[in-house]
Amino acid sequence: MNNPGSRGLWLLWLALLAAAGHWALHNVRISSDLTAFLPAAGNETESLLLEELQNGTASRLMPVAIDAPDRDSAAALSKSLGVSLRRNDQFAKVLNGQASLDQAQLDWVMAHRYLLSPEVDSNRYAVQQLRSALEDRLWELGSAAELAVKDFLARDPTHESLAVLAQWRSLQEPPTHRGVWMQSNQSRALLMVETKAPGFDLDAQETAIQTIQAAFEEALAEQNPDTATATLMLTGPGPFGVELRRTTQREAQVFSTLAVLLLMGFLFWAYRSVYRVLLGALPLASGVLAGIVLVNHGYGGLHGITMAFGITLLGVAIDYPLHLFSHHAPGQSAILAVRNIWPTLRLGVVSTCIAYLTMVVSDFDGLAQLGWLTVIGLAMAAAATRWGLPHLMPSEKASGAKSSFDAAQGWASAWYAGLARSPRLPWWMMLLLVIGLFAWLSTRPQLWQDDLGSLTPVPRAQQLQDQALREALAAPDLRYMAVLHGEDSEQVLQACEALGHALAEPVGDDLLKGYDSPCRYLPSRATQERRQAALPDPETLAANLGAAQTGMPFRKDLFEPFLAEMAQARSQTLLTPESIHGSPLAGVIASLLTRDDQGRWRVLLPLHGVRDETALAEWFSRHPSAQLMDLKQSSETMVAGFRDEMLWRIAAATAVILVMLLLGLQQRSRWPFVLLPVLATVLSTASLFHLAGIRLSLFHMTSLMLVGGIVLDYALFFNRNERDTAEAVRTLHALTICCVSTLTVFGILALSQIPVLRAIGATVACGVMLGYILAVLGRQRS
Amino acid sequence: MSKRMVLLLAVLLPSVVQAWDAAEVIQGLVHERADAARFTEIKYLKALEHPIRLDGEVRFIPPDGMEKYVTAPYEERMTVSNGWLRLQRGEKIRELELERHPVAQAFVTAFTATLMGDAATLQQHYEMKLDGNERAWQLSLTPRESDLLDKVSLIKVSGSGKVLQSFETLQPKGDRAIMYFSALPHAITKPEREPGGEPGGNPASEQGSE
Repeated sequence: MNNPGSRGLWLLWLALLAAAGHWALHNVRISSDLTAFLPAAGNETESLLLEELQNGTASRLMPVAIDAPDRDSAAALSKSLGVSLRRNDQFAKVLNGQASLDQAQLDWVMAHRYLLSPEVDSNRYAVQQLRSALEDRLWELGSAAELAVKDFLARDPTHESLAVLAQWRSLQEPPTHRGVWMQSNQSRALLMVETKAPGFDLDAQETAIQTIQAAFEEALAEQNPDTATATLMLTGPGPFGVELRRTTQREAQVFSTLAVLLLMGFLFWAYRSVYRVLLGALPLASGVLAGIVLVNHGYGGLHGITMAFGITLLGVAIDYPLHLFSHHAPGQSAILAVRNIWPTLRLGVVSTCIAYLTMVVSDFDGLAQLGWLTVIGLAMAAAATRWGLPHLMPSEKASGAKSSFDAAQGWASAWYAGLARSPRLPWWMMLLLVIGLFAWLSTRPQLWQDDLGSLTPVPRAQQLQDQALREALAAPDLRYMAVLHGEDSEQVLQACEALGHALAEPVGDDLLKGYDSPCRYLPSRATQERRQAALPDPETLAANLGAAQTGMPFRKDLFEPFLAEMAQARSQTLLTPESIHGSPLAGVIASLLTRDDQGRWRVLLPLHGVRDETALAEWFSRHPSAQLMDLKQSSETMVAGFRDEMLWRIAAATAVILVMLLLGLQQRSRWPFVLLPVLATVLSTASLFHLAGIRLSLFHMTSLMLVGGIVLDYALFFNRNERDTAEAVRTLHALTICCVSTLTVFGILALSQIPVLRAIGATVACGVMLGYILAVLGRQRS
Repeated sequence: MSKRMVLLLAVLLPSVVQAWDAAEVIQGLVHERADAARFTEIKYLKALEHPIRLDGEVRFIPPDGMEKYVTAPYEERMTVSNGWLRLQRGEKIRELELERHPVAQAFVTAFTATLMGDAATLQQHYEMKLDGNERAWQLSLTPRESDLLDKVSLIKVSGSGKVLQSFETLQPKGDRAIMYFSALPHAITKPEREPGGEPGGNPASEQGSE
C-alpha cells in the first residue's frame, strides 16, 4: 500500500470481490436437495428412491403433537387446529381422527359407490340379500345404540358407500378421545399433516410450519386461559430441515466469527501486521467467490452441501499466503519471495487440483459440482497468491526498516534446532505403516456409515421423538413397497388387483399387516364393468325390493332414490386415471399410480407393518410380476455406491499425484518422503476415528481429502531443497503457522453441537495435527 | 298471623318455587335413585310407517356406565363402559368406541350425568332449561357443541319430584325417541305410572300391548 499502482490494484481487487460477493448473495441458487448427491438413476429401484426422496409422501408427512394440561383441552385444540388447517391449501391431508374425507370426497364416493364397492356382485340385489340388508337397517334404526346412517338410508340401503370406505380405512388408528386421536393415557393429541410441498423445499416447509403455529396460537386463544400452557410439537423431514438450516446458519455464524477472530489474532501475533492479516484473506475469498459464481453459472444453481463441502476443501488456500509471508525475508522483494516458493506451492496446488478433477467426471451431480468448485477455487487462490499478493505487500525500500519482519528470527529458529534432533522414520517404515493401516482398515466391519439419514444429521433426540410419534400414529413407515409395471393403465390396474388378492396369503401368514393399493380407489376397467353388469335392471330391482320389503315397516316409497341411483349407475361413465386425477381423491392416488416419460404405467403398493422381510422377499420371488422394494436398503446401497466411487476416485487421484510428483519434484527420488506421510496421515486419522467407535460418513471422507491436500503441502515444503538454514527456518515457520491456523479454525468447528460441523472440525483438526508430526518424522535427511 | 301476612305469603310463594333449580332437581334424583328400571321406548322415525316400540330393562352403572337390555320385540343388550359400547343381538356382537357415535354418546352422557346428579357435566355439554313444577318438571338439554347439534337437537328429561319418568331425544329432521321408565318389581322406589301426562306424550302406555 505504498505506491499508487498497488493502491489501485488493492482497491480494484476489493471492488471485484465486493461485486462478486454481492452478486453471489442475490443470484446464486442454493438447493438443499440431497438427491444431487445420489447417482443419476440407474435402475428402477434407484429412480423410485430418488423420486420418493424428492417428492415422496414420506418427505411430506409431518407428525404433530399437542400437549395440553388435560385430555379434553388437547382434543379441543386438535379439532380446532384440524378445522383451520383443512381450509388451508398448503396441506394435502390433515388427519386427526375426525372425518378424514371431506364432504366433496364423500359425495364422490356416494356417486361412484357401485363401481367402487368390492361387495357388488350379481347376487347382491336378489330378494334374499336385500331382505337381510333391510333387516340390518331396521335393527340399526331400532337399535339401542342408534347406529343408522339415516342420511344414506334411502339412497344406499345396502351400504355400498360404507363398504367402499371400509376398505380405505387405515388398518389401525390411534385411540380417540372426543373424536380425535390421542396418545394412549396421555393428554397429548396427535395429528398427521401432509404438505403439498416436498420435504426438501425448505422455504415452503417453513411457511407451512408458520401456518400451523399461527393456527395453533389462534386455537389456543379460543380456549379458556388454563390451556394456555399447551404446546405444539412438529416433527418430520420438513420441520427437521427447517430447524437444521436455522441452527446450522446460527452455529456456522457463531463459530466462523469466533474462528476468524482467533485466527486473525494468531496471525497478527505471527506476522506483527494487521495489513498482512487482511491480505492473507484475499486469496481464499477470491477462490471461494470465483468457485461459487462459476459453478452456479455452469450448473444453473449450487447445491448447499456442495457449497459447505467446497468451502471446507478450499480451507487449504488459507495456507498459500502464509507461505509467502513467512518466506518474505527482510530486504527481499515480495516478488522474489513468491518466485522462491512457487515451484513447491505450484506442485502442491496442481496435484490437489488434479486430485479433485477426478470428481468432476462423476455421475453424481453434487460431486461433480464439488470437484469444479474446489478446482476453480484453488486455482484462483493460488493465482491470487502468485500474481496478486506480491504487488500489494510492502517492500522494504518504501516502508523502511521499522516493519521489517523475519520469520527466520525468533521462536522458529529454536523450534528448528529442536526438530533437527528429532528422530526420523525411514521411508520403508512409513510404507509399512501405510500398508499396515490400509490392510487393517480394509478388513474392519462397520467402518462406514451408509445410512442416508446421516446426511441429514438430525439430532438423535429429535429422531427418537419423531419415531415415537409415528409409532403412536401408526403411520406407515413407507420403507417397503411393492411395485408393478404395465404398458397401459388397464394392464397395471388388473395386475394390481391380482396382487391384492395374492397378498391375502402373506397377510394371513402375518408376514405383514396390510397394504395400501391404488386399485381400491380406481378399480380396473374390467372390474368396474363386471360390477356394472351385476347391477339388476330397474324392473328387477323394484320387484326384488318390493318382495324384500314385504312385512317390514319401511315407508313404501322410501327407497325411490335407491332405485333411481342404481338405474343411473348401470350406464354410469367408468372411472379412468384421467377422471380420478381430476376428482377430490386425486391427492390420495397421485403418488400410487403414475406414468413415466415413456408412457409406461407404474403402481405402488405401500406395505404396512412388515414383520418378516426375509419370508416376504421369498414370497415376492415367487410372484415375479411384482417387485418388493426396501427403500432403506436401497438408499444404503446407493450411499455405499457413492462412497465406493469416491474411494476409487481417491485411489486414482493418489496415482495421479504420484505421477505429478515424479514429474514435478526437483529430486524425483524424494517422492516416497512426500507421498507416504500424506497417506499415513489419512489412514491413521481414519483409524483413530474408527477406534473411537465413529462410523465414517461422507463428511469424514471429504474432511480427509482436505487433510490429504494440506499434508501434501506440508510434505512438499518439508522436503524442499533449502538454500540455507534461514530459508529452512522460514519454511518451518510457514508450516507451523499453517498448522496452528488450521487447528484453530477446525478445532473451533469441532466444538459445534451440529454433527456435521463437529465431524468436519474434528477430522481436519486431528488430521492436520497428525499430518504435521508425520511430515516432520518422514522428511528426508537433508 | 294477620290476614295481610297470609296474603303476602300467598303472593310470595310462587317466586320461592321459582328458585328451585335444575341442579336441585337432578340432585334430588340421586337420593331416590333406583339403579335399575323397566323401560318402554317408542321411536318415531320418518323412514318408517309406524313407530317402533321396544321394551326392556335399563340399568345404571355408576359413574358413567349403563346397560340397556331390550327384551321385546327381540333381545338385544347394549353395554356402555369405559367409553366403549358393546351391542349384542343373538350371535352378532358389535363393539364401538362411543366417541365415534355422537348420538349414542349424547344419550349416554345425558342419562348418566342426570342419574349421578352431576349438574356440572350437564352444564358443560348442554344448555339447561327447567320448566313445570316440582310435581311435573321437565328439563330441556340443548347440546352446546354444534357438531352434536346437527344430530341431536334436544334432550328432554321429565320427572315428578325425585323420580325420573321419561327421557326423550329429538333429532333435527323430526325423528325422536322417548323412553318411559317404571320401577322393576323388586325396586324400592314407589311405582309411578303417569306417562300420559307428559307434554308431547303419546298414546302408548307401558301396560298397553300391541
